[in-house]
Amino acid sequence: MSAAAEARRAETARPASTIAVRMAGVRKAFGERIALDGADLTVVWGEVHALLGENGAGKSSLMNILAGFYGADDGVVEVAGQPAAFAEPRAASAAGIGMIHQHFKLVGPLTVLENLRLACGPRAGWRSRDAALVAMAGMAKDLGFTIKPDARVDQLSVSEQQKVEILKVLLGGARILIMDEPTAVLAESEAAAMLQLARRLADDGRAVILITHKLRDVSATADRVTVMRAGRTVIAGAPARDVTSAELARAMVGGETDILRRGTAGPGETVALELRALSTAGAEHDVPLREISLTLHSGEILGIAGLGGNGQSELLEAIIGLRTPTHGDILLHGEPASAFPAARREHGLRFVPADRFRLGLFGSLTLAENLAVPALSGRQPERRYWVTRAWMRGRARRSISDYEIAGGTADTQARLLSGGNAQKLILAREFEGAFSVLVVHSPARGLDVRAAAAVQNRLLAAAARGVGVLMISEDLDEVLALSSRVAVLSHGRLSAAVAIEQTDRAELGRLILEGA
Amino acid sequence: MNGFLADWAGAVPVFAAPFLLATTGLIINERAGVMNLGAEGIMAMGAVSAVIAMLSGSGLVAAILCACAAAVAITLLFALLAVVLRLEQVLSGLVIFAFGVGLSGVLGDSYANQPIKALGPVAPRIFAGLPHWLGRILDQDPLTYFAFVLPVLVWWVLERTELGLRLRAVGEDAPAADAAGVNVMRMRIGAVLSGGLVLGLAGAHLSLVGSQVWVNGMVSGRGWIAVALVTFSRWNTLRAIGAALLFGAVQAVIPLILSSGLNVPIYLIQMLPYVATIVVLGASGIGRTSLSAQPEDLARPFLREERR
Ligand SMILES: Nc1ncnc2c1ncn2[C@@H]1O[C@H](COP(=O)(O)OP(=O)(O)O)[C@@H](O)[C@H]1O
Repeated sequence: MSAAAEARRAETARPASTIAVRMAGVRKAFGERIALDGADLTVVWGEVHALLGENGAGKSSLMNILAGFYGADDGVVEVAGQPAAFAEPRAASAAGIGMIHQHFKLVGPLTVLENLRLACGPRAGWRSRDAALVAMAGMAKDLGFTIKPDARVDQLSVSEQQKVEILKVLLGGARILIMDEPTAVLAESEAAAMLQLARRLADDGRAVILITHKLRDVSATADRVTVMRAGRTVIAGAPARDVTSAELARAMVGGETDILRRGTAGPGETVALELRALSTAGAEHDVPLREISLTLHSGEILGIAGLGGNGQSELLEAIIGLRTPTHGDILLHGEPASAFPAARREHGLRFVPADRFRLGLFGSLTLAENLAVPALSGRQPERRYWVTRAWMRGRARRSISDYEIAGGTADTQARLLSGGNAQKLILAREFEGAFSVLVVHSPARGLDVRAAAAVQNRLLAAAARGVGVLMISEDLDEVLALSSRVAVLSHGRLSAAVAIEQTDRAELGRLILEGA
Repeated sequence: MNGFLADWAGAVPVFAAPFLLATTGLIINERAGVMNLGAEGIMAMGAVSAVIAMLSGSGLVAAILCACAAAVAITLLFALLAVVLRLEQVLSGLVIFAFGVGLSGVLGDSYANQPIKALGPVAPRIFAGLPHWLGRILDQDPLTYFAFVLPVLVWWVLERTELGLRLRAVGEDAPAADAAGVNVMRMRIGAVLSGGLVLGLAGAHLSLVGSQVWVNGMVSGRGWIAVALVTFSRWNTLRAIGAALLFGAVQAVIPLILSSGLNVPIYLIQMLPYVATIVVLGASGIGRTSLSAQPEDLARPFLREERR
């Protein structure tokens, strides 16, 4: 680790006055689970500092400690040279620390302006609504945002909500900004703008900490990079241009760097799933599907590309039977699909939703219980009258080891899993038994490189076994890497599917932006 | 018939006031994300304390203060269970309900069935020039007047002030409010106690204005009806005025029918408020829009380091 050693030397040489944040030997345990095991981080004013690591490495925990959301069990935290163990978020905000969480901390039913007044009103000294309005308009203009102050926050898009968070943090006078995976929820063009903004805020003299697991974000924006693995710091503040992506990847995942290779499955002959001119009604925030037709063959991965919010969730919900179409037919293996989701499941349909905890898992049930649910329901349950914990645990243990679910035992609550492990849990459950059609939505969203590869390999393996996989994804790289055919979903319309060899990134990009 | 209608109209505000006070108190609770099912018990404590104070020779003002103090004391217990110790709110509420009703029975045992000097209309002469029925409606006691002013005041605080914004934020999304620098626990305790105080007033109204006597179990389900009225008024205290008037009208008609000598079974008539509750809840379910007014974090305890 010569890069790390060098960086440490550079650290000691740095004058104390330039240091914005110093954290050393920070420890934190949640019950039995050790989240941080002596983590270090030093950030100076005026830099974008990337904090890199796999899911569950402890990045968010470390930043939650800095921002006063968690209390550290041990270790040193200094802000601008002063010891700073914030007991609550309010104290951290007052000290100029602003954190933009991965899951935004906005009050959905309140308006944008109300959220800003709530968070910054007392500190910014706004005497009236108008004062707040003027301050907001000024800051928004400066950053190039256009957001309606009286819109309810829960009616804004994800990227607009993120902008509200940024306004909130900056209007609150933050000098140290923590952005927890800001690009994970954004489309490519928006992500680039967000990184530019981070750069600009740092150039203004602030310190910006950018949590990410995209190596590309690091090379594009960061001045220095800290890498964490399993609760410890493995690279401490190395200059970003001095470390290669390969070095960073190795530091992130430890010894095992062999991220499995991807391949492309070939289509079979039989049709597994067919949609004929499927349309749905457009309720308040939904995108109506308009005459969607597609044919999914056994053994192929059909990729559905497109920007989020163009009907992706609606398509998944219509296929699995949660949304009743207004027109059109869904055929499973050539027969009209039953109206009941359970019957479709028995007919071989499985799904992996984008929101793992809304449609996927029962957060407060244990892993064993989550895994047992499908086996206990349906027309031919595996166990009919008598269910024992031992039985549930036994089968859960098998799935946990087969699917390499880390960070929990059979008796852990599912909500305590990190994103990657939660996704593996869903796969373990959905892949149980015989099935022939799999619908997945953003299967690798928010996962680190290794977990994403593991999930994607499972999809390829399923296709190789003859399962028809419909992969709805907002990540074009993923679509290009896995699909044998691809179609583009835009404003609720689906383009004709083409073989992956007959198209390219530019062509798909055009379809995504302009529609079919 | 004019006499009947005037009697009825004149009685409606008095019957509506306890519902209105109780619903307003509960809305303050629930907008901060705390569901208090102990309303019935807290009202009972308020009612009995007011009577005990009166029979012990205190004045009306002292009696009302006593009712508030007793209600706040028992609400403090609820706040401890539900907010500080973060126990299941439904369960905590039921405990307070049972405890409050039971304790009021024990305390009021030796004061039961002794009439007290009532809290009466303020100034009948002012309304002399008005039509008879209008005069009957407007001429009320101070506590009833207050019951109709308070919802407007509470609405203004909730919707128009910084304090109200913070309270609503805590009820809608406690972690986000916490991140924005609101002290969630303090806010919830404050809301629960203020709500409890208003429930105490509702109880005092029942015994000082309504029955003018303490009878064991005299709250007789009004606390529960208020819990339903919160949903019916969609967590809005201005709407609660309408809801309470509706229920007041239903209740006010009962004694009139009974005394008019109509040949209807008494139990059927006394059932009216409960039937009305079911009808009204059903109706509010039918007319429901997709945007529910229910605070998102209602009955959900908050702990900062907990994942959810
Ligand atoms: N509030 C919490 N309660 C219980 N466990 C938690 C909590 N926050 C984090 N953890 C656990 O701590 C570990 C580190 O998680 P986190 O800091 O979120 O990692 P990262 O941000 O690098 O993905 C994980 O195993 C996670 O399950």
